[in-house]
Amino acid sequence: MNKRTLILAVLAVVLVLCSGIGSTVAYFTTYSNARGGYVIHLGGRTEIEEKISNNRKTVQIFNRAETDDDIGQHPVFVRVKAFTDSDGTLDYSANTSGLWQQGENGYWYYQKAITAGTDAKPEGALTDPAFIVDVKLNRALKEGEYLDVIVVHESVPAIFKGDGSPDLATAWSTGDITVVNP
Amino acid sequence: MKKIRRSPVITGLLFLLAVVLLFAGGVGGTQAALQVYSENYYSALNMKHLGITLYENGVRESFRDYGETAAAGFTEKQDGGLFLKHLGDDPYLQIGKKYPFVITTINTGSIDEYLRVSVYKYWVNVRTGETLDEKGWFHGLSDYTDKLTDIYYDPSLIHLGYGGSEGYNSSAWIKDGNASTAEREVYYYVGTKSPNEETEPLFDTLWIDPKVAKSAVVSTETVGGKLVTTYTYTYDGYGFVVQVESDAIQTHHARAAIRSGWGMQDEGILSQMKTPTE
Repeated sequence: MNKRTLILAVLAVVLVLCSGIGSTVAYFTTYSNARGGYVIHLGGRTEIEEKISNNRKTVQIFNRAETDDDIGQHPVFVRVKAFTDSDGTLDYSANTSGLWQQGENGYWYYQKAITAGTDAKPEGALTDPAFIVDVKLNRALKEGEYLDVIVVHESVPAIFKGDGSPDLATAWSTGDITVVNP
Repeated sequence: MKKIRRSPVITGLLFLLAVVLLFAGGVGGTQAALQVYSENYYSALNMKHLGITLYENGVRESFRDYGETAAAGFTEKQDGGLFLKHLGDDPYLQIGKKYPFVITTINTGSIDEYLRVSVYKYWVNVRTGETLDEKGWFHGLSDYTDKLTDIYYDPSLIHLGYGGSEGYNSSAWIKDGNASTAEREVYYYVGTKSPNEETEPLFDTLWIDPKVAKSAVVSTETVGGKLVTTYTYTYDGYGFVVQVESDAIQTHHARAAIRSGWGMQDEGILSQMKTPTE
């Protein structure tokens, strides 16, 4: 087979292949898309505010916003626990609102989430009503003696059930925390 | 005879003849058609077009509808914003709460269609200066976010559900397990939709797994003689994203169209979609 014959043969093959191009087809398609998202805010910077009057300690927890963008965000649940020594007995019976309920390990749990606020915009950032601890002395104190009543508080990110009701049990199950190191 | 075979003139003539025959083959068909139909021939062309619209909670989020002529092109609203009316009266997103997320599509074209929906879920680092609405949502596609791809940001914590539990409406949609990952899910609608018909919902709820509040970096330090433990939550300040893409394709030569247009080769799914066999 000489060179010219080879070229002609190749050309013939190409022409035959070209004759099939016309059968290539395209299909009707269309599309649309959308996207959205939300920034998650977890944890809060909670502060305790205490007032003492007539052997009664009133305690409120404030969720302080670090920036204006945090206002209304960072929802947390809080709990408190009070201690004293054997000279006193603590009475919690004044907490009748139902929003403070006693739970495990001597903690009292606030039943709603509080969100971050500022002094100028404190709405939703303060536990309301305050937690009340009445102190009864087991003996008369001498001049210069005093009785320590210590209240501690903790907070965790608020978690809710599918219907939107607070899920305190899940939120406070701190044993579930997964420690990561990003 | 050998001389004739070896003659380059004869070879060239035969080649030219082959070329002429090839072209003549194409022309002949055209001529035949003209001869048959050109007399008293009237035509009324009704151009068909496809269209699709994506709805979320009854809100028209995005669409692409072609016009009746090629010159008309298409009208569209792409990169629509999800979650425009999600929280209702909630002042903030409640982690764990199931929010309405009813995803449907409507055939807004003029011919029947097969439909596909792809859902993407992921986490992003939202830069400062982003546009959030008054409740902290962001909407639509934009370039102001950085997708988080490391393992600490888990797409499976963004839940989509139907009928009260995680999953999809399996009575109307088919999930392509081979094409799906934790970040991307692909669904095909069972059957076709005629013009102006709406699909059954693919999902109806969305919620964020409480585990996002259970992932933290724990550090301790001594401050003023006291041991201070600090929890820095992994997902704090990051955004979750849900992206939905809906596709439509012609029903004519459906299997070939789906294979070619969508690249879907699964014969089992093609059968479940009720595409006619070829």
